[in-house]
Amino acid sequence: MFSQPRLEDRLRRNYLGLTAPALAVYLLGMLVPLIIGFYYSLTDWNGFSPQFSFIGFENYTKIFRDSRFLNSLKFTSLFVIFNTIIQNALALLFAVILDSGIKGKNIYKTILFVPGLLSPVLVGFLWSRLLGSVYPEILVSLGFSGSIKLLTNPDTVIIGLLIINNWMWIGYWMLIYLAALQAVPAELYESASIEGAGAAGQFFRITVPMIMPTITFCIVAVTLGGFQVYELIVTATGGGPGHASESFIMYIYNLAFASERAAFASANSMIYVVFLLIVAFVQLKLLNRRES
Amino acid sequence: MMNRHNRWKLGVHILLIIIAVFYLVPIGMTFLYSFKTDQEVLTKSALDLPERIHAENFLEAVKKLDYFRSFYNSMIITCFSVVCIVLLSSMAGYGLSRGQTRIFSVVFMIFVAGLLIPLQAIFVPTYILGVKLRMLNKFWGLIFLYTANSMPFAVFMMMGFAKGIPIDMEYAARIDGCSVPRIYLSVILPLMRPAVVTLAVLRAQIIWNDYLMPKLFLQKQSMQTLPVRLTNMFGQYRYAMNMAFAAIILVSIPVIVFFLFNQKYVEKGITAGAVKG
Amino acid sequence: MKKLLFALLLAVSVVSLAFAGGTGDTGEANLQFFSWYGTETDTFEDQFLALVDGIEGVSVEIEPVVWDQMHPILQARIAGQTMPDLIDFKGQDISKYGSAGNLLDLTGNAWIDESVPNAARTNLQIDGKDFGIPYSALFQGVFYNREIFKANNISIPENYDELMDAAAELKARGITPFASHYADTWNIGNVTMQFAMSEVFNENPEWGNDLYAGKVTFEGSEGYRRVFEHVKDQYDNTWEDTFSVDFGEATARFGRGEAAMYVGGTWANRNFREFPDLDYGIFPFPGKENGAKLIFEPNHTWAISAATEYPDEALKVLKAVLADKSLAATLVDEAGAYSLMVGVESADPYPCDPDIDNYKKNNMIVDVSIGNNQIKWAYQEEYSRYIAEWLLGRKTLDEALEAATAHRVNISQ
Repeated sequence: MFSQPRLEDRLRRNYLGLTAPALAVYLLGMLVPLIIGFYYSLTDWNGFSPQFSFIGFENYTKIFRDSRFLNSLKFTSLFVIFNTIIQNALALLFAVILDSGIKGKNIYKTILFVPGLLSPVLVGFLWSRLLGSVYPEILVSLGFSGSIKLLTNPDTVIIGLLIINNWMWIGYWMLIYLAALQAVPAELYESASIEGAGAAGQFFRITVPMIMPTITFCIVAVTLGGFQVYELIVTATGGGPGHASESFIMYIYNLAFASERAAFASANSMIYVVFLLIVAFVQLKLLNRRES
Repeated sequence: MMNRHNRWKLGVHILLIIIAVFYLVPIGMTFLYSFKTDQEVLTKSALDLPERIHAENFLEAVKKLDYFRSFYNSMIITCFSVVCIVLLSSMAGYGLSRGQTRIFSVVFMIFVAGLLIPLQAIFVPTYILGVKLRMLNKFWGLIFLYTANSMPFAVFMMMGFAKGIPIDMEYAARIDGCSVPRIYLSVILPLMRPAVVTLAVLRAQIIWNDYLMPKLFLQKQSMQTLPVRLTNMFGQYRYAMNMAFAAIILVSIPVIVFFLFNQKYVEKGITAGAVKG
Repeated sequence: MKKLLFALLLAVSVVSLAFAGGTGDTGEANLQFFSWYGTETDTFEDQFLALVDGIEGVSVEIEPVVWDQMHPILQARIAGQTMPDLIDFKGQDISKYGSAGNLLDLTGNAWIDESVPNAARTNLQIDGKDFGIPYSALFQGVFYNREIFKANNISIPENYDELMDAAAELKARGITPFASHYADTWNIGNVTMQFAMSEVFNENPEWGNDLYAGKVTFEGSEGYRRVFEHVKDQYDNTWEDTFSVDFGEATARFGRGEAAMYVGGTWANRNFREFPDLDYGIFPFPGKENGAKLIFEPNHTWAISAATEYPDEALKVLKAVLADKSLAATLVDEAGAYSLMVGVESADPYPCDPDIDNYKKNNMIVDVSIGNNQIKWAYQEEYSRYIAEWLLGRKTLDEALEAATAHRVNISQ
């Protein structure tokens, strides 16, 4: 009995030992670059000059003054909000449909999932053509008219990008929801249908509460993923027309490499990380309250 | 009653078929392009059928991509990175799920915070680090960096999965005198297989398709990966789109095949991992 | 699990193989050549490598890069102090990297003058020093479909009013006057610089420097206001869907005779060649007054890193390249370039080449580097976005001009 605390200690050290390699690799390969980035954010480096000087937090004081900062943050936030809603709602809907014992479930599942395996560059490239000419041609031949080129209009470009990004990722989240649905005990539904609950009633009274942890996970993950979408937008629209689809990461990237303000771009990256931290924290707090 | 049910089913089927078509059009377009001539691409609409199937585009693409060598390079980098990711993250995930003290939750939070770092924003510092660590033109350097920047997601996922493995199984092994690393290897890791395969597929997709990191770190032509070769085919003003599309197909197929082979496990892995959230 | 282990073993064996095959040290100077030549110039590359093979003690590894990614990757390489030794730039990049001290000073090598005359280099020089040697050029202006011009009895416009009259006439006859592709922001960037050459830099060759010095602004400049308005004129005289048309599509439409003119550059030649029936010429974008000049732009430009370990060897390579006329000729054939090397002509001229020769003969050529060195390309692309926002009703003309001025803080001067 007296050896119990020592066993605890030994176990803890072992568990830490198992964690250490991953932590070491991660700290060296990811946090060190972040720290180097932070260091550059305190300078006036233009990105290619061998000389630069240390200017403290001056870059940080200028961040909020740039209209492109707010503009790109606004676009990114709108994109993320709609993306999170659509992606989760449709993924859950498809999962429910496929879970209802429909024929050909596996084929549909595969078809919906495969786009997530393609490179985002390819997806952006393909869809800029599809939305730019192929679909409009089809729609016109069906008798539609008006502005149907989603990516060329500043008001609709976000819709086009949402279609593309969701085409790519819905299948992935659908698989996760499907998995969660399959874990809901069938007896719950049986007793509910004896009580006379309809399909909608069953969904909201049984399904949703039962898979709430999964919903939380998916919402947070899709949100964070949305904030980092970059390659797809670059290849589909290049941030255009004008600045209408300039995401925040694109703004940072352009500051560093097109404009000559690598240090200022670094400062913006740091602020973005803090911003995402706040978003994730708030979201988890809100969702956890709903869960309990 | 039965009739209404059937009609509903029919409606759902039609809806699903429409969705499937919507999903397949872009992929169909890729194939159409890849079989056309250069002239047909320029002069005809995207969904027009080619006059005849020009399979020679694929032969050309194989040559331009230096397919077999680049495939080999991509394969080595992807396989090794995935193996490292899976090993390190399953160890860490297991350790973190079993540790009870505060330090474990702090370490876990440090990992998860990595999910918030946009990689495009730190690629210059990453390159500077890589140069200092002598990683240029070394496969291991790239593998190390991929492992590092996969850790947040991987550990997050593995920790969720490991939490769901009942601790009773370990007691039995512990009574038999097994050490923790031993338990991890002989009890936990086999149980984690679905999560491992899922993580492998998800990460393989990202690493296989990545352009920026191999372009930066592997500067010798003989070490270039498929996406780098593919991107080189897109000249600024002029490129043969038919051949580019054939190349896109050749580059994308391996990772899709990898998924199809492992689909069964992927779903199980997702089931077990996600429900615990 | 067994399968995974097997895969692991297999991978281990394979990788050990890969690591074993490292190249031995041969004592040669191994130079990296960072090149944005596309994969369409294979013969050029082969010939270049064969040429290098003949130079003792030097070998070159070509590192291809796509134009879109060139500057981010190059900047990372500079930051990591691993800048490639030899670099293929566009002429416009020399001022950026040259004045920052990234490039080797090439001044005073007599063999440069023998191959690329000083006149072609002057505008890339920084304080009279050569940091880059232009190797090929592009010409920019307004391409016109000769048949459409003839059938509608339209003559070459000499000034802006005549150009607009021609456009109106074509439009009245149901012909799209201008081809354009605003889906590519660079199309707007390119046409604005063409317009600016005749409206702004023609009068004040120091306009850009004055901008950074705070002496002039976009909104205060009559010339730049006209430049922006010219884009609007073009926008009103092109197809409706220009914001979803890209370069390939626009050149294909022009090739099919769906538009009468295209404000662009000779990079389009190779696309036009897909349409053998197309007969086209080129004229300078006309300004307010007669006498506009055809625009000349140094394109592929050789440079050497200031940080290279092997400056002598790199110079040797450059010297050999500039002495090899057949290599330059290959580039002309393969990339549709106009060589800047003395005595290198195209074996297979494009339909617009007689026009270009004519302007050259009459000394009606202006080097766009004057504008590009001051308002760097990234700046042009940025204000093009403001122009797009104005065209699409998101900004007023004044707001677009003011935003263009405000962007100057982003350029280190």
